[in-house]
This record gives sequence, structure tokens and C-alpha cells, in this order.
Amino acid sequence: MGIRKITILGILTAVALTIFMIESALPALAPIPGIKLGLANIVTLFILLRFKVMDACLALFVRIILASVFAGQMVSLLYSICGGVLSLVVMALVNRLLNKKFIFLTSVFGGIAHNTGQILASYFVLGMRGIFVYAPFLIISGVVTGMFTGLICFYADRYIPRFEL
Amino acid sequence: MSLKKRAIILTAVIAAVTAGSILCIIYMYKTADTGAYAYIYQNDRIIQTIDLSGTHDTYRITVEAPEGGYNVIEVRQGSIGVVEASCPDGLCMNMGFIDNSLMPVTCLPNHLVIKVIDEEDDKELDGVVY
Repeated sequence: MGIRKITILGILTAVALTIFMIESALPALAPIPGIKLGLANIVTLFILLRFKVMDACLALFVRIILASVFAGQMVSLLYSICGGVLSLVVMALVNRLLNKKFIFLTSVFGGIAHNTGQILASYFVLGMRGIFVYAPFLIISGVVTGMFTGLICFYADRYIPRFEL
Repeated sequence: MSLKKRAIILTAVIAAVTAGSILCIIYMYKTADTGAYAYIYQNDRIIQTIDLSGTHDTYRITVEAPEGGYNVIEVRQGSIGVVEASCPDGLCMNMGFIDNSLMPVTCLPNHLVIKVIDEEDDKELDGVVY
């Protein structure tokens, strides 16, 4: 990996981490565990759009690990990894299918997949089927927040000049 | 398949999933029991059951998590909720007091779940029972 690539991915990861930390300082949107804006996903989506899946994966893992170190919550690490990985896999597939167009759709699928991954993770942690009552609320929240992050990523892609890794 | 067609199919999938979720929520609202019993679970084990309809004076109980956290649960007549907790997000407190089976109060960091059910189900009780 060249210095240029390390630097660019490092900067993007720092941006994602900053967004994540600011977002986690905001009060929860709804009194249901797991509902949040997921703004850090903008960066993952942006990397997916401009570069390769592996680059997005790298930035995602570094961000998740650093975020749980800074937020001091090891419990959230498992939830973040499950949500993040499932979301990245789904987004990579949809993005490929749509030929890097219609980022809104990719982002909505990412949002749904992220929240599904988190529910599955909490099911494995708590072992309670009762946790699935949150699923419909989390799926709808995934659709709404996915549209929002997709919109932001669309404009980010439009205004940030093209550059090579 | 053309790009436009794919996009339309994916949009339809999103619409179907959203509609399904909305129907699910409506169904859950319609079938929610007005609960009389509260079940407190920790790591999927019932640690306490409380008869909410038989509670006349408000009282508080503290549940310690094995990992070191705690939740202070307030029991009122007909409802139950978390009033104080060690978790960083405080979501369990924000969920307020529940009096039906629609949505359990959950504290993920402390692995605590409080459910309200309309009848006593006395299987798999292991712990203190009031």
C-alpha cells in the first residue's frame, strides 16, 4: 500500500471517526435502542463509490475499533462490527448491481442491513427472541436514515473533486 | 437487465420491506396485552417477577449486572420503568414506564430486559420472586 493511499484512507477514517464521535454526543433520536442517524456511514459509502470494497472495509474496521476505544464501550464493539460488516457487504453488492449509480438505494439498503445486523448481534448477546419486537421500528429507521446519508453522500460526491488513490 | 430496471426492482424491495414493517407495527399495537406482570430478565434469565396490579406503593429495586453496572427499577401500580442506570446512553431511562407488552424496556450495556405480560407464567423461574 502506497503512502498516498495510506494518507487518503487515514484522512477519510479520521473524518468518519469525528462524525461518529459528534453523533454519539447527540441525544438519542427515539427511545428505542439502536436508532441513530449513522452519519459515519457517509464516509463508508463515499469510499465505496470512489474506490474499492477493500478500502471501504479497511476504513470501516479502523473506525469501529477506534470509536469503541474512544467511546470506552467494548459492548458496542460487537454491535458495531455486526451492523457495519453486514451493511458493507449489502452496500457493496447493491452498488455493484447499480453500477455506482443511485446511491440513495445503496444507502437505504445499507441502513436496513446495519440495523438488521445490530438486532442479530443483540440477539446473540442477550439470547432473547423478545428483542425482535424492535425489528420493524429499526428497519423503518434504517430506511429513513439511509435516505438521509445517501443524500449527503450524493452531494459530497458531486462537490469533492476527483482524486486517485 | 438494464440499470433502470434494476433500480426499480430494488426500490420495490425497499417499499415492500417498509410496508411489511408498518403492518407489523400495526399488528403489534392491536395485539398488545395490558400487562399485569413484569418480568425482569438478565442475560435471558428471569431474575424477578413482579405483580404490577398488586403493587400499591411505589418502590425501587436495584439490579446489579455481573459486569459491574446497575439499573434502578421503579415499580408503580400497573407500570414499571428504569429511573437510574450506569449505562452511558441512558436509553433505558428514556424509554420511560411501560404498562403493556408492546415494547420491553431494554438496557443493552447491562444485558437487562423488562417485559410486561398479562398473565403469570411460572415456568423457568430461578431467582427471587416477590
